[in-house]
Amino acid sequence: MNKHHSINVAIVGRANSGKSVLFNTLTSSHEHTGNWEGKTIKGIRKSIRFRDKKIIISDLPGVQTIDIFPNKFKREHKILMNSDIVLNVIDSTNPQRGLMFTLQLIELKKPTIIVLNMADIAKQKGIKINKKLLEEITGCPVIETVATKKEGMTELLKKILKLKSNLKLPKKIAYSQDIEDKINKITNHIKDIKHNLSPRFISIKLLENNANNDFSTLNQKTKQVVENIIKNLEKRFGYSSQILIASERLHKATEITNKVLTVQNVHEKGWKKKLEKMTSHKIWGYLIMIFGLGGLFGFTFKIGNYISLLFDKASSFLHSYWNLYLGVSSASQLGWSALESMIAIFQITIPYIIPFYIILYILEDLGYLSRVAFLTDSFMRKLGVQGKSCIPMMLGLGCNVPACLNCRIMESKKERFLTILLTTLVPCSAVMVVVMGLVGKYMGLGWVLFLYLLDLIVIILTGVVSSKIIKGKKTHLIMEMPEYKMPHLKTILTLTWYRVKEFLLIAAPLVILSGVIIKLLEIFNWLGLISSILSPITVKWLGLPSITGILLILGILRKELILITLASLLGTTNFSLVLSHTQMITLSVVTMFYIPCIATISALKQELGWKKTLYIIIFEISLAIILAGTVSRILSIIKI
Amino acid sequence: MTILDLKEGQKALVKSIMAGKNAESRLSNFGIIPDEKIKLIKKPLLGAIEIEIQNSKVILGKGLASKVIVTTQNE
Repeated sequence: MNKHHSINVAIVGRANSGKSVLFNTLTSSHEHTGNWEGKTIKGIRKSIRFRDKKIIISDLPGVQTIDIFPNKFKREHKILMNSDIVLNVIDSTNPQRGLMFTLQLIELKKPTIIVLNMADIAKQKGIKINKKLLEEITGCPVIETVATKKEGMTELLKKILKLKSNLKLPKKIAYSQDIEDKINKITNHIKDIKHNLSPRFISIKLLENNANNDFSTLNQKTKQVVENIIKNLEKRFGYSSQILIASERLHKATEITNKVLTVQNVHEKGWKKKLEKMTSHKIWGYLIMIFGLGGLFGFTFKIGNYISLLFDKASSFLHSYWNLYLGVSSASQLGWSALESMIAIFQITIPYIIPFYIILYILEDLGYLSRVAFLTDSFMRKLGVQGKSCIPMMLGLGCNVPACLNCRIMESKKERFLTILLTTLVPCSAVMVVVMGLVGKYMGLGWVLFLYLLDLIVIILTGVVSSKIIKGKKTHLIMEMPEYKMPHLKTILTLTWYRVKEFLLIAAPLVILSGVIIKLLEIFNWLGLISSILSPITVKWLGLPSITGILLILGILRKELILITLASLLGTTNFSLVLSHTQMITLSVVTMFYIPCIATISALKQELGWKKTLYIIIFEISLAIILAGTVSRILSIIKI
Repeated sequence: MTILDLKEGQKALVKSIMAGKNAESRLSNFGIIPDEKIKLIKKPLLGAIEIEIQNSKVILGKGLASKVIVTTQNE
């Protein structure tokens, strides 16, 4: 790489200021973003070309305080320290909060551009920020953007080039005399320590003595001097130096905000306030949450069933023509089963996935997931996790893979493991396809809800029990409550389309391949042999047809395959021909729990290592077998 | 008294934070430091609490909230 010709740009800012959207718009990529804190966990880098210059942009959302010897987000800090230019994204509707963070960047003395994002919402609220004055005070170029609408992007790129060719450092912003004296004292002491960071920044960090820093590498003498200064200061003010510095920044940020900000009273849209009031209400809040989630599945069920039935008709019509013109030979059967697997995708999967993701993304974009975190925090603590765990768990309803990766927002190891464990128990959209396609279609919505309720109970019990067994630190929930925002239709449709596209690209070849393999096995009479290996469990204990053995093996690849392969084996999607109602429920329970799919397993391995992944797999297989067998027995006694 | 003892809609002044450095750092990052005015907005039974501080809305777990000592203004 040619270092001299590329510009390293780091995007930082407080949670929920729109960093990810800005990053996406700048790099026109489609990394997933959402309206809640800590969304982008992995620092993402992308390079773009602008006017013959290569600009490498890094999104560093984990950096919420700027630390000198960080004990968290080390890699992100390194990228930040090595960057040429910092883009400090600020939520224009609440610049005071953003400026508290900006002050730390100013201490760092890196060329910084202040990006006043969400300028459109600020305008709606009658908030006006005097850019010129803010530029004068901070010494940083200031720009207004609306990342969601791609406004201000070219200008921002121009500003980056301009700042790079004409480097300008932020102005020093002085704190109160007391604190400044101490900073100077420390600065004098560390004069001979060679460091590529600004001495003022190092001094402030030493004085702040922030919990996020690991000062063990510091030499003894400096440590002693700093300690004395801190002791002296704390004795005089009665607060820790950490609080004193935080308070300095807070008051500076407020002072600057009061100078640059004017608010005109504009009539605000009432729906946000009303929604806000309702959804976090003591009683209504919980009711809305329950009905909202119920509605998510109810709506998916209704729409999915309707479309699925249309495809059913088309498929059987097509099948009769196929047999009429091509006869019923082995070759024609093989051909039909390949075709049937393809049709089955549209019959069974797509009708449910599309409405489901649209609603899930609307809830996410609206900012509702944060409300769920808020409403359930105390309850979740009983499961050994906290409110924030609800966010990956809700996302797990879509797909467990990104959901498990999102568990990185959990701060302690124990909470992360538990949240991941609970997330893998959440029925993903593939499981939903099986449940809706079997139980929903032939037994009705009531039984679907029963299965989801059963899943919820399993999650609660697993959480309560394992939180007692697993030792570790618990953390507390603290986050800014994002305001509701109007869901951005285009973003939602794009994200849904990505899900469907991904499904078609990855799952469809797999579906066709396994459909053909199964048909070949059937033609050569090997199908029974393979299925019989699992029959002690599938047939004897679970009371399922022996064929489900092979389905469950294929289901490890993708859980939809259980249903789709069954369809291609039968040559129809009328599953009531081979499965009784009890068997449908049993198969659904097995599908819900028996093993995380292969993609989830690899995500688990990446996040937890093999040992813990293996624990989860063993736990879930045993859970599925025991639970499904029990359910099957109970159902055959009460005869549904 | 702590934030938890406030009623919904009640205002108070932060007095001190009875917590370790880590919690202190997290709270101060959200502007929750001594001498700041806060208002309890919501306190649902199964959930966290929502407060307003410096025109921002912050949610914090009840365990953390119980470490923030406050005093009501008419005291």
